[in-house]
Amino acid sequence: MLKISKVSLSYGSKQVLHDVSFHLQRGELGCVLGESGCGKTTLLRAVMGFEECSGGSIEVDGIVLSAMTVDSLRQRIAYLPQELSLPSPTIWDMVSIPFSFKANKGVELTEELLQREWSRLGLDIHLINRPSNSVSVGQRQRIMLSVCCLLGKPLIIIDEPTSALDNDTTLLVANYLKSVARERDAAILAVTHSHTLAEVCDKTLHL
Amino acid sequence: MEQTLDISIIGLLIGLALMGIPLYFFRKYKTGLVQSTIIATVRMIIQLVLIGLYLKYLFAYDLWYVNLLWGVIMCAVATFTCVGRTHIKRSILLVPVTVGFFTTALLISIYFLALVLRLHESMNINLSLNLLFSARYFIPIFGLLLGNMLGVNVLALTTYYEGIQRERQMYDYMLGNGATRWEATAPFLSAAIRKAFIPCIANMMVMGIVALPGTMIGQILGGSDPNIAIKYQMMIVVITFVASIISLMTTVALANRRSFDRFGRLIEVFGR
Repeated sequence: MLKISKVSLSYGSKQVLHDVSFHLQRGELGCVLGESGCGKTTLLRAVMGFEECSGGSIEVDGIVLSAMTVDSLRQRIAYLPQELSLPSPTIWDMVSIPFSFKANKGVELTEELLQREWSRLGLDIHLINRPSNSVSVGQRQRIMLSVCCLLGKPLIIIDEPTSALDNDTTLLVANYLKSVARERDAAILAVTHSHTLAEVCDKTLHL
Repeated sequence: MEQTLDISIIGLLIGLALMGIPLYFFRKYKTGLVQSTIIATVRMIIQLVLIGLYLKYLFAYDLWYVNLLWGVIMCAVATFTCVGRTHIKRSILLVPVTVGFFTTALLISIYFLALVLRLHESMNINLSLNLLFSARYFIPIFGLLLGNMLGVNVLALTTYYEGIQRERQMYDYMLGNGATRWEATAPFLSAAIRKAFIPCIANMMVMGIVALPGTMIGQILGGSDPNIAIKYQMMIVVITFVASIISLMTTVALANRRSFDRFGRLIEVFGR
């Protein structure tokens, strides 16, 4: 599903990624582990087409990432940046945003579907009508994670999904991601500092 | 109709003397605005005197192509002023703003003069280029539209680009979840429209009660019937409001093509 082959990336004279390779099949949960500033987020951004590689190639579902293919590739991906904050009045408004895009028109979003996901993530469905700025960072991370999973894309890319969570909740989220990958036949790639999450993953890329 | 009262040179000097009051406060509170206020006042006087002389000839000859050429010059000045105030690169905004300003001001002016004012019917003559681009009607309307479009575009374009730059994660999130470029920029355009138009709407709300608009006062002082002045004012508000949004949407649609790279990333837009 995701094939990163010998990817290199530089900012001016500073090389951030050098010959990085990683493969992920459908149904697998993978993670990128490494020190702060080693290029983990840059690698995810490169997969999304937000950073241009100076060498190597990235393939999603057999399609090589390029300026010509980036739009169609992004339609196959659900993406969650780190500590995302959306200026929506309520949680429901925040959750609904990607479902309003033409590319996701056929994808269903109901309170029942959310409740099913949220119960697995230890969230109360009553949060749905709360102002979006009234939930904690950890709750927001899990809420947005559930959105990514509900979009039904074959590839899910997540940046630091557990950075604001305690160890028990991190384990809960890690097991949730693993079961989502299996149940929905999706490939999930997460950047993390958490060894708890890394231990649950099928594959780990050390940077 | 009464003759418009002229203002004597002494009267003008007495009027200009009022500028001493803001200058006093600007100096007292060390605002750093004294020099720029004096320069702006002197520039205003020189520009208006020169324009007055120019308009005198423009009105005397009243040739449609000369009037249209004057419109082009006004548009060029408005475009450079707009681009300069936004601090966005000329390579991105110059053509979009020129096209947005000129086509909108031209179309709305023609709409107003031919369909609202119905110049040809009022004067019992056929609609012609000479009538549509007559100095007396075309130049004031065209200038009025440009002036309003300028303010709205500067505020909206700055808000739009600053928003995308500041909220890059939100933009990436939308793009990364399948949004088209229009869908991903829509919230930022919405915020820009709100910021630029809320003052216009608030102004419209209190018009005639708290604020007596310039066009209406000018007409009444010039001896017009207040009822006619009110009708003009109403239409002026409508056409400036409409022209502002049309020019903004045109500018953004054209500028978007130059503001993002092939991967949909916002390029460095601020600078010279």
